[in-house]
Amino acid sequence: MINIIVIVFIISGLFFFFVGTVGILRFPDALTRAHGAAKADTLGAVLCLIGLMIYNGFDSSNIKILMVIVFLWTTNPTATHMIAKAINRSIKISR
Amino acid sequence: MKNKWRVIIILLLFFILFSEKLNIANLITALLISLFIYKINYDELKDIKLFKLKTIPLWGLYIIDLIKEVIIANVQVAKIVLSPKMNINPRIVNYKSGLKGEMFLTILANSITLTPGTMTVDLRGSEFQIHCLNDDYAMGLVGNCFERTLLKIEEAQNE
Repeated sequence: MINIIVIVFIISGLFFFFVGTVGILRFPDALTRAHGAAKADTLGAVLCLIGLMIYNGFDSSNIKILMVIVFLWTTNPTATHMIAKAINRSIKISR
Repeated sequence: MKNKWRVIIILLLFFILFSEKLNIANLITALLISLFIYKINYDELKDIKLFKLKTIPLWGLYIIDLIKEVIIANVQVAKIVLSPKMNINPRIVNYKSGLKGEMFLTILANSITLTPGTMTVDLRGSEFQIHCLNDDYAMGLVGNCFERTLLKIEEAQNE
């Protein structure tokens, strides 16, 4: 029973990774591509990690996985923001 | 000085949380490492403002809101990406925030970037430049639930 829940979580996580990759390929310009690249990680990686947490059972290493999620959710937007800023600046220069 | 020991206790609790055991040797190691970390990061940590305890329920509310918004927005972006005719109209909108503290502005900017469909490109003073994928996202920015909760937290923090 637990295996089924784990599979559902990890498959839906992989689905969001897939959507992110398709987004990179299909979006028309650099700024919208940054959307696809960064946003897949937020929910995709978190759903995969939650699947691992459930598979692991409930012990103290779950706290570490939870911390990984917290750090992922703070560093990912920061990195996206820096990329967006750099793209914006290069667009302004090339005009 | 009161803040110093609070910061060190938080660092110490983190060490114990990650090392997964509690004995005297471990506790002494944790204390020494916490003091060392406080020492080398003294410039950043000396006038750090810790959050007040009564704002914790509001932070909980904020995190629930954030998770809800991320899931809803992710599904919407997945629909846009996978639809054959992509319904996008990317543009940059300016958005003035009512928040004042630098910390809160950073948290709001990161939350906006975290929810798919919107991305903070630049922040000058308290005015955001936000890149939106679609007109709906640009509309949804005004009076969003993040800013409402953060304004409440800032009020409680400054009391």
